[in-house]
Amino acid sequence: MSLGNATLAELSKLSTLRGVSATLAATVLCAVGLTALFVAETLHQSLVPHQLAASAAVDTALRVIPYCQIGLIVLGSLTTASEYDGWQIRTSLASVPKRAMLLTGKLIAYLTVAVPAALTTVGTAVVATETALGGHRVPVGALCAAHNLLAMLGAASYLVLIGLLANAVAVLVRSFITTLVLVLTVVLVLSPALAAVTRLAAYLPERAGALLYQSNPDTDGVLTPVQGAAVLGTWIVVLLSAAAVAFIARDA
Amino acid sequence: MNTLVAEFRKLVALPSTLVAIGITLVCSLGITVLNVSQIHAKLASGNTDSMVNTNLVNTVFTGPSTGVIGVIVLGVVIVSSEYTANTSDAGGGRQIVTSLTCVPRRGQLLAAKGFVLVVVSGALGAVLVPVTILVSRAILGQYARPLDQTIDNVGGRMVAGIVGYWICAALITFSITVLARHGTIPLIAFIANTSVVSIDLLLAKFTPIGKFLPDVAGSQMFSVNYPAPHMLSPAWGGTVMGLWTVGLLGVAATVFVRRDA
Repeated sequence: MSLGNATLAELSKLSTLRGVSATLAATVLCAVGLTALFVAETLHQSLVPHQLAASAAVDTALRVIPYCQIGLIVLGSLTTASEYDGWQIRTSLASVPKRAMLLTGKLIAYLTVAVPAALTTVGTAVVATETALGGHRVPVGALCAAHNLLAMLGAASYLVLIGLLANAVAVLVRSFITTLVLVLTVVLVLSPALAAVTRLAAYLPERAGALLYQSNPDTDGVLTPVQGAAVLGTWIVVLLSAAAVAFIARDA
Repeated sequence: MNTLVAEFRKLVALPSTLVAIGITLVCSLGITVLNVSQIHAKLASGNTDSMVNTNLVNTVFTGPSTGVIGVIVLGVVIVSSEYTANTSDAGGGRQIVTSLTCVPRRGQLLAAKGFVLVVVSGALGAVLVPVTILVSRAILGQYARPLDQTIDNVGGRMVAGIVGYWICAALITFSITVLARHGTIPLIAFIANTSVVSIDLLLAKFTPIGKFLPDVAGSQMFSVNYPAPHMLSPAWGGTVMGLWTVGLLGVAATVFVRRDA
């Protein structure tokens, strides 16, 4: 079996998981609902200028990313952990005995779904913000300035990468619920709590990755956005390598 | 009594229970130790300018208020473990069928589960919250107030409040998981709601009815400087969260008793 076939098989598994379509729909809907709230808050402040700065509009839209990352984390965990819900993994390994190939196929299949999903989420958030801003709308030209597009692209990359991290954790722990509890607790709870205490928290995956899209990051300038991306990348490379070694070496 | 013992043994035998207790420990003790050590370092260096807005009680309680995630996980897995299908080599059955065969009175089974959950989460809270306060005092050393002043200042109310909050949060998660018969969605929703990306907190900031949401209301039992305006008093907050708990338990019990397993 070739890598192409393995990837196609993984894609077909992903597309038939009920959880995947539900997660993707919930993520995009969540982006729409939350932008409406955030825009209402922005417009509620006193002294709203008639026209918002384009970067302020993008910032408002990207405030949904910490919420929407949950969707990509679920997607990443589902890609691998679903194999261990009833030992489907044995069938998969019987069909694709080369373990490295199976894992690569899974990762490519994840990326194939996650990249469009992340781009759609960010795009939807920006469009929803523009719609909700009504009279305060930002002209499209200003919105498409290089640094704004870069922030949107950064946000989409962050979403894809944090899901990839969940993927690696899922391979290691082989359980959907455990992966979710671990990743969500670290990303949503421990990371902000530690950030209040120590500057080292800037090196946690969520903090470092957030530099990809935040225009005013609150990490006390420990890392630049490029360094942040490198730190998140390092986390993913280390965890994925550990996952690959474990997956190839251990009993299924 | 047998049902209680059985439910207790099932709960402690779950690997997720260990993860949950670990999370509770790390969140409540770990975060507080880090926070308080930092305050001690600032006090010791005499550099207190950045501390004008620091409220020590609040700092000590950040840990326990995130430690609630542990008991939320307990509330989910005590139910969802019953509904997880076994591997197909073992027949693909669900434990709930066995449990109901052994304890055919559904009300009794659910009551036993709820009771075990209350005891475990209450015990975790009752031990960890005072330990957190004592450890904080130990770290602060000479800067800590005398013990009787600490007790006056923090008060039994806040300790009881946070333990009550843990128990109610566990029971609310429990009820929702009974209704969902699956752990994933309750787990995601409740962990997210406890974190910085809390939807309830957003609603509390924007709408006047947000303050009646269970976790927003319940937090008033122990919270100082809650990050949203016009909140309920601690007593009313506790009452509102209690009413949510009782109401949701009622709905869950009715559904559990009536539907096919």
